[in-house]
Amino acid sequence: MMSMDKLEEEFAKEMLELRKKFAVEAVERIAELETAALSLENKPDDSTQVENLFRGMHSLKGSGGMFDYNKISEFTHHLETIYDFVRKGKIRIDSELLSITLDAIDHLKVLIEMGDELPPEVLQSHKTKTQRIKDFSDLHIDLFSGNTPAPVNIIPDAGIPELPTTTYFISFKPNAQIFNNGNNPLFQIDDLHGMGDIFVIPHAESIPTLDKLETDLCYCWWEIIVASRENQGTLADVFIFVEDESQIVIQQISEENLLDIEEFVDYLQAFKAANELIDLKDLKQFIDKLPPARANENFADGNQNPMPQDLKSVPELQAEAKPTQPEQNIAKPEIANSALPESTISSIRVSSEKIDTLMNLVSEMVTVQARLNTYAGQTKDPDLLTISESVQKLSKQLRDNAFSISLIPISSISTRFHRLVRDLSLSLHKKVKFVIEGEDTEVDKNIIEHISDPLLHLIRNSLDHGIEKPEVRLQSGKPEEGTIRLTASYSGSNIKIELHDDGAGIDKMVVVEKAIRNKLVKAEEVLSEEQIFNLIFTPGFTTAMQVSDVSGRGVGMDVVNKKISEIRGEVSVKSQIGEGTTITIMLPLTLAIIDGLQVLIGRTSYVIPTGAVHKIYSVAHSVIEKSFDNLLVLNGKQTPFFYLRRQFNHHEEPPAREEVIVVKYENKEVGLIIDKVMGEFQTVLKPLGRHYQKQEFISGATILGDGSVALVLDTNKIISGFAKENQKTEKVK
Amino acid sequence: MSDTNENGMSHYLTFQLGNEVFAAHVKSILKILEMQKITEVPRSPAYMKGLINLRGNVLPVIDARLKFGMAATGYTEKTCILVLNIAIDQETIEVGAIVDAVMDVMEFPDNAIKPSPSLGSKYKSDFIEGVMKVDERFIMVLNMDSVFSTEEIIDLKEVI
Repeated sequence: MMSMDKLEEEFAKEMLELRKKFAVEAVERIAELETAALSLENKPDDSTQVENLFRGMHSLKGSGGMFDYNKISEFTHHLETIYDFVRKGKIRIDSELLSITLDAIDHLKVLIEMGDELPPEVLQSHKTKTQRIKDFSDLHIDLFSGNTPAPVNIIPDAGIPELPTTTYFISFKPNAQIFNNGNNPLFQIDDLHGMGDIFVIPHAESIPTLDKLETDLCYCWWEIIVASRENQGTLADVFIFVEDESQIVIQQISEENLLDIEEFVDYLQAFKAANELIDLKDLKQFIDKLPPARANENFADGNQNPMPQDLKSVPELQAEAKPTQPEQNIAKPEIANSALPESTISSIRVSSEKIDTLMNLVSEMVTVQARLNTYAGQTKDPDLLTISESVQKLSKQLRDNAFSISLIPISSISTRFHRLVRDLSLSLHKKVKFVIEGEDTEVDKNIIEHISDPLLHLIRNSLDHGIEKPEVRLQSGKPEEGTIRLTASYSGSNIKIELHDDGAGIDKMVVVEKAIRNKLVKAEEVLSEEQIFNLIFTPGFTTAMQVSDVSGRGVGMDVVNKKISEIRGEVSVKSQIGEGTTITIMLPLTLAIIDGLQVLIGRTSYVIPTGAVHKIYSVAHSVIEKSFDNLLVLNGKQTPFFYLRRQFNHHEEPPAREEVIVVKYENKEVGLIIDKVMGEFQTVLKPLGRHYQKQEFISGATILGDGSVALVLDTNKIISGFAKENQKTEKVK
Repeated sequence: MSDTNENGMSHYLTFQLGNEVFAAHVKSILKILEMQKITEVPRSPAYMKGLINLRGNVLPVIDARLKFGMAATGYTEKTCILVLNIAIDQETIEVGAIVDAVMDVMEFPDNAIKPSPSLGSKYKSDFIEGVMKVDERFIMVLNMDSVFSTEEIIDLKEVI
């Protein structure tokens, strides 16, 4: 047998695991709450979202208490009460309530992180926040009930249409060991309180004398009359965590609120006072005798088979157990059914580490498969070729599938954006509508992680510097409310994210002046519009007139640009003064796998991303030799080119005919000359590591079918980098 | 994991570059590979020989002779690539180092490593952990982390 200490240790370990799990789930639940609260801002009457809020808080409260997050439990309790009233139509959602809610949601995040032991300053704010919610609920609930703000016995407001209230009888008999799983049956009763009027008769007869009392056993059970507008299934949901460890019977006894009837309450009081068990037969007879207008139909369809007739004492009931009590058998499955979610499990949660591993394994397999393919081709063994082809097919499917697993929609981060816009527009006293289009556009999760901070920064910028104050907007003939629009879409092998605001726009003159002042450009330089806007991304540049709390500390756009470049993305700005600004971010679909054109220079293989390739021409070496001013005439068009053999210092003898890969660069066509195109294939991009950081024109390496390494070229960097170099050398000449 | 076993002994791998013998603590050596085809990376320093395929990942390879300012020689069948695990700025990365020949793995007490007798500047002595005497011969114990993370070419004469 395990020693007590060991048992405790085991238990503590298990608890810690459960707590961790709870925390992870709670974070997600809180995020859902946030989404729900934000969507209520636009549609305050959306009952589904109110329901989501209520349920989310309800379950946080329940499970929080279970895992020793008592502060969370206590905190959400008050919120839950408010939302219970909201969903009953007794409180209307307004901006004050939403502010309180969002504030509370933020606080919940803190509570999840810190647990119950709060440092003094957090504890102080915890108290303030709790009080704020309490005040709100006291004020409003008082107003509506026209009564003391107790959650019990609230008389429904006459003005609001009512759903029929039904009265139920519940017998809740927890097993003696129910505490072992961290359950507290009082929570269930508390939950029932939240659903309507309730009359509880506790039964504590079985509590033994102190010397025989086992502190970890439950000796109590309850008979409860609930008058609620919820259906039986919802009531059964209350017991979802304890149904396996208790005997629960729920029976409808009237389609009216019997607790509204004084005689009925008196009748119950008598039972409570005498500590007697309710006999359902008697109860039924009593209800029948009540004024017919009040209680016309009792025992709805359970008539023929009324309730546990012999609820006499604890041991008896337990002895009678299931087989002899048909009601139990009926009630049980009903609870079970309503407890099950209606749909089957449509998604599962997997740690992102596992997905990374999967992607790595798939990448390795793609590489090995390429080797098999090459080898099978060499042997010309028909059987091996067939096998290799099948493996190729499978690995392609597997790759696509694994790839799609690591994609998540933009909407997964949009809540943060909504929240930012909401909070910031309030504090800046600006009216802003935030619209997201293409929320379901899916992006590699590693990319999502990289872009959310830059996007937040850009949105902050738009709000702070872009959108004008309402009065200014009205003066310039714009609608009072500004619009920030985030659009995500697929564009070839890229994802395009556009952030548009209809604000003041960027003043090119200010940008240029500032750049000159900061010595980023020389005063006499002539700049194209594009070049001017690109200055914004230069380190140390900011157009903000003053350093504000929000943005404009000079560490803005250059960081955004750097972050986006890190994941092979690009940022560009277009702006029209007075009309607004559009920032476009182009991102690769994935960081891991790209389609590439394998080309040869000398004996070295390179890969050019297919997405960049426009056209391919074959040109005699002599033509290149004779070309003037680095221009080739291709298809009647003069095309500037880079002779990669020379740029890369390959000294082998060039072939008689070489090939020109024409790529798009800033709307222009530029040729890259290589020896020979070997073919197109999917490559797994591997980082080069810090030893080759300076070779910027190479975005990574990949492993070819024969096991050798090929370099993946970044065509944009090749063109921009080599163009600068060539200019310099020309000037030297 | 401790670098030293309980007897205060550590294992060192000795290898040859030109006529010199060097030692490196085995903690930084992951494996030893035969010389193989290396994909060159254009426009990189001469000592950066290129990339090889190490079990599906790419490994940058450094020619240790060139790194130490020695003349390049042709590779022989004794030429090896040491796969090293080196620490740079809180991260550990893998890098290959081409050496002329791998000699031995020896166990030494830690106190057998004496400070370098040279009067070289403090900065340079970062590259060597010390000197051991084996069979009346001095062997330099290299600090692989700093040798293979620096971008400069280390002039051995200055170090010794």
